[in-house]
Amino acid sequence: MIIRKLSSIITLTAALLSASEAAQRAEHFDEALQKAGEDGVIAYCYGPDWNRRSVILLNSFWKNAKTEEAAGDAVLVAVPFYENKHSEEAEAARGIRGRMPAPPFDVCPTVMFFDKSGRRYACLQGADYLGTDDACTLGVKNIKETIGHLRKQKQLLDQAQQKTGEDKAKLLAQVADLPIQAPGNLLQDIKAADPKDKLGYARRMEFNALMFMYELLETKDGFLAPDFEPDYRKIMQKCEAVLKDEALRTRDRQAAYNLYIGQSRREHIQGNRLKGLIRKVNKLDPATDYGQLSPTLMNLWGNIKHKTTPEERRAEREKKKAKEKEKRDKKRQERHVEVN
Amino acid sequence: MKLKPAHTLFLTAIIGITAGYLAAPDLLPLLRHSLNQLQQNAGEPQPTAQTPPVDTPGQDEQPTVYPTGSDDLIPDDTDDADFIADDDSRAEEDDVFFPEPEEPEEDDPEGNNTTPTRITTYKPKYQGAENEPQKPFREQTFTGKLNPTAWNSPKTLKRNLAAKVRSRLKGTDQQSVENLLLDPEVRLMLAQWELLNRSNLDTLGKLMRNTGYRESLTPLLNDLEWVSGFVYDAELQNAEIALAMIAHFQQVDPDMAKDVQHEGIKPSPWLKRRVAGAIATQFTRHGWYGEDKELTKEELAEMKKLGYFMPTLPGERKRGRNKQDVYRAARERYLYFAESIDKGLLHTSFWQLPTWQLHYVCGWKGNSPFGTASTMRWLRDNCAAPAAAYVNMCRQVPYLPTNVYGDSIHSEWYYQPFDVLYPGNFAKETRDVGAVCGGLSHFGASSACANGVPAITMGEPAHCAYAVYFDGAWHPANSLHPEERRSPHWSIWGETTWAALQLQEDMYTRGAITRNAQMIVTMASIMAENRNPLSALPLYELAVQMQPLYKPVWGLYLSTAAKTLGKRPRRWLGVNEFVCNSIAPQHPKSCALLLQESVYPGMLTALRSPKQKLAAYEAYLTNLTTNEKEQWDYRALLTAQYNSLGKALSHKEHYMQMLIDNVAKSAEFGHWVAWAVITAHQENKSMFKKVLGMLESAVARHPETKDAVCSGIIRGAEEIGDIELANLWSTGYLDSGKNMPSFEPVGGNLVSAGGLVKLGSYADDQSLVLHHAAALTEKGGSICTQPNVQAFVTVELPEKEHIGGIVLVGNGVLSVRGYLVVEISTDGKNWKHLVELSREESGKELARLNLTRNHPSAKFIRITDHAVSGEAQINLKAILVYDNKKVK
Repeated sequence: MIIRKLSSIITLTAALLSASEAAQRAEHFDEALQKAGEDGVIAYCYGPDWNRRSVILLNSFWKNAKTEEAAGDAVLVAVPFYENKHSEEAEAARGIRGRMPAPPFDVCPTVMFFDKSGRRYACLQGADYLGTDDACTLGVKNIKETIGHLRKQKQLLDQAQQKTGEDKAKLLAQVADLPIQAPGNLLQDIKAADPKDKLGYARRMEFNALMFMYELLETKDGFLAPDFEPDYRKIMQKCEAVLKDEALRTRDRQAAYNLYIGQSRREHIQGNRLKGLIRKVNKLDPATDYGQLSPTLMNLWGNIKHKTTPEERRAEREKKKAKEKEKRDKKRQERHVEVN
Repeated sequence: MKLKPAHTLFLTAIIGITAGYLAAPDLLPLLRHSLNQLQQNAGEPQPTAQTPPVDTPGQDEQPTVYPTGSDDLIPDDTDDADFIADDDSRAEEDDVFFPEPEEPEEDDPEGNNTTPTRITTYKPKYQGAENEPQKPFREQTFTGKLNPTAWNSPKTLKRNLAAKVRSRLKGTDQQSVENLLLDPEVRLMLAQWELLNRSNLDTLGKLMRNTGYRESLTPLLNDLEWVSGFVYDAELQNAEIALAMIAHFQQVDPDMAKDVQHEGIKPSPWLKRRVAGAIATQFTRHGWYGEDKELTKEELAEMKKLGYFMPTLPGERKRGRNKQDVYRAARERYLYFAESIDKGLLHTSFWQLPTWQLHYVCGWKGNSPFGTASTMRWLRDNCAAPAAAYVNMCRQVPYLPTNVYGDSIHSEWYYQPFDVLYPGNFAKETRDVGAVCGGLSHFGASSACANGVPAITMGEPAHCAYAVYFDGAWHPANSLHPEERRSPHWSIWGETTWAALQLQEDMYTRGAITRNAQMIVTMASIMAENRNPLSALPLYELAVQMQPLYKPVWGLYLSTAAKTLGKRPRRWLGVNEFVCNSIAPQHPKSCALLLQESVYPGMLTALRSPKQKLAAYEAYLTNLTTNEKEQWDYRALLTAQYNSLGKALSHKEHYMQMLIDNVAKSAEFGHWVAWAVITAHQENKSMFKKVLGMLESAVARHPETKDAVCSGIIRGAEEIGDIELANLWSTGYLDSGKNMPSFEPVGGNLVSAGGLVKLGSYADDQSLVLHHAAALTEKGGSICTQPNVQAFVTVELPEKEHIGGIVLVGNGVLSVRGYLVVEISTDGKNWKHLVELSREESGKELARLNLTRNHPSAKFIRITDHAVSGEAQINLKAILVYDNKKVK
């Protein structure tokens, strides 16, 4: 009981302390970096000579007390991006920008996050992340969350430093799961901590659903060869295995399993059988985009009536395959030319 | 003393004549004639003996008349004076059938009465006006006082306006016309008349008899700036329907007339009304319908409740769509821009765009899912960037030919499952799901347009690219091909070529002059409608003088001119020369098309003497300064010119000399030389020999363009299969220094060296032809076809051989997108399949084909690239063929 009370007091004190945090402001990015504490620097990019909205937001959002509050003790700096790079203002702005790297796309408004070393770890661009209202309510919320992620990241990394082996790998995997960029080479560190990948975290980080699909479809660039017939059995086995692999991220497992669903449709599998596969994705996590798509897919694909059964389709395909093989073999036999 | 360019030209010509005479004395008359041309261009007084006959009155006193179609009877030694042979007696007869109410004076020293033979460079009345796109009439607001009810009877109004314009027009000379155009009231009347001329008057009458519509439209129709922009800044069709749309826009946006002020943005008067005009013009012109198919019953009821008058768009029923849908789609587009303007959310440069550019921004692709208001709104809020950054905006979209379900981009299933997550927002869906070139380019272009920056998607062979307008020019984006292979998907003036975009750009940079020329065309149309069409001729002439790049007027002018020119050679030559001088230097393709479509049909029946024809063709050839990058059939033009000279070889030789002299001056016309080689070869041996002599002499005279001429000769030699000629001209290019990989030869001795390469298609870079011969040696060269066009190469060996081996060296890899097939033949006609390289083998830099076991006999080897996906293209460094004999 006493312990519980104590812990609640500590939490309350921490909350009060964090509430009393107020972001500082700097005139230049380099100055901001010098002042930066654990919450790093947050830069607001705006286009004074081409984007009026980002100029309006400079006052209504960036200089707003709520934004300062959300930014924790990060140093805030506003960096103008001029379209006319030869104007006097643009010349002056070059000093404000200093060593700040460019945003991923030259889009305004943009909010970029840097840790105290100057490494960019997150970026919010456009209304999808900042909102459409002048106060950028969504942006303020996202800034707060992002700063929270940075703190969490630091905490996990500090803890990981104290640990070794699988415990360390576990903590590093949690860092990798945060929706901000991690410092250094996490994969390498995880592999060093768990060389045999017993926990599967290295696999989790290395897994790429797109590459997984490309491998099964035997393509390097996504374009399928016109005469290519996917190996349905192989797809089924591999996708089922991925779906069961709990070391992988849920969304990755769903994405990989989608190939099996699509291929099943192409194999003329229909009705409840196909719906069953779709349901599996939904069951794994209905909140992800693929999970949300399940009801639509059931409607779209689950009710298709194919003219041929999967068996007939398979037989047809086998026949075609055999014919092509025969043709290829014949050609190979005819080939008198040695190529090297 | 500082030399003027004209003097420099003159001196160059004299030096050229001396050098030319030393090299080829028999060419002196031709060179002298060229000098005359130069003098004429330079505006120097001309000695009587050398005066170009086409402009010299009095020289046609003693005409030499040749019987029609008897070109071959013309003596070869006909002197230059015969150029001017004109048939006065025939001309008099012509006058009976082709009366000329505005008959110009041939000897008018001031040139006030323009005639086709006297057309000169237009000198604008207002100093500097040609360089200032908007002045002197823009920003001078003028509101007409036309009684609104006058629009109730459009037919009467049209008649009355025409009568008023005619009554004020004191003459058709430049001064009278320009003075008239200084009167804003006249300008307004002309624009209003043009609007009526482009409308269905019955429908317009119905529209304007509705008081509400009339009241909302009259302020626009009485405003000079708005009406003239609406009528002249883009091709306006179905004007009455466009007006109905604008009236609807005003119903949903009563603030259309208000000019919104934003801090930091220079206000733009009438911006929303100009935007409304641009949207209505493009939607009615293209019949663009919304993405969401037809209107629902509820929406239809809502529109009817608003009391919309919605005339049917021509051809609408054929499209099987609900007619109201086009109105809805246009209205949504307008509301999007109105909202963006009111809130100041667009790129600040949008406020300063001239009306013609507003058409590209606001009127863009109404039929595309990227063009819906909801998609554009998302693009505006998430992809606002500096104008130049839109060139890279497409990179936000991942290039994914297959989606996560394994469905191809070409199948209906690629986006369908995801539609539910992105209702009405195709741009976001594309960014999240992926796309290939088409989606990427549409994303890039629509993000620019949604933010108020002009952009346009365009087709390239097996690819889709786009272009963004900033810094006063169109900039290609996501483009894989050179500009000659780009074709914009749509345009504000009918023609959809890259060259046409450039032409428009050139035209609008002289905006004030273009507008005057357009108004003069309206004046001409008024004259033509009332009186004899020929009365419009001087006005058309003035308009083409003012703005030769305003293409629509040329058709009108030449079709009218054809009636008065009849069979008068001098006048036709004058027209021809004017067309060539005005357009050919910058736009040779547009000029060639115009000549072939509108000038040659009439002119060639009028010109009796091949020498006159030569003079006409010279006007074109001497004006070639820069080649239009666009791929175009220049061979058709040259062949038409050449064949029209009849059977007499002396004229054809003359033509060849003229062609070679002119194209050898620039490095951009090397491939035209190939045409000369091929045509001369087809003619006869003597002509072939003479043409080769001319080329040799041209190379000596123009060492700076030697490579271009050599590439033309080699290409010509390849096309006619002349091994000796190709190798002779390739000798200087055998050490091209390619980085060849090291390899072991296969078989015996190299037998391909000294052979002949022949391509299915030739790459755009003509200089690659120079390295064909080297590609048959172990030093390596270049053999490259155009992407996706006839991707094969044939090698003809100097002798028929028993092949022991073939080594193929790729430029990086042997085949980028597929695999190579090798065939052999002894006669170049019957081919035997030798081997098909697998994709893996084709993906390597080098392939050694060992044929020592069978050592087939062959003189020809053909290699074809078969693309599995994307574009097939031969791109090799070497094709080395070895015999089966013991190495010497």
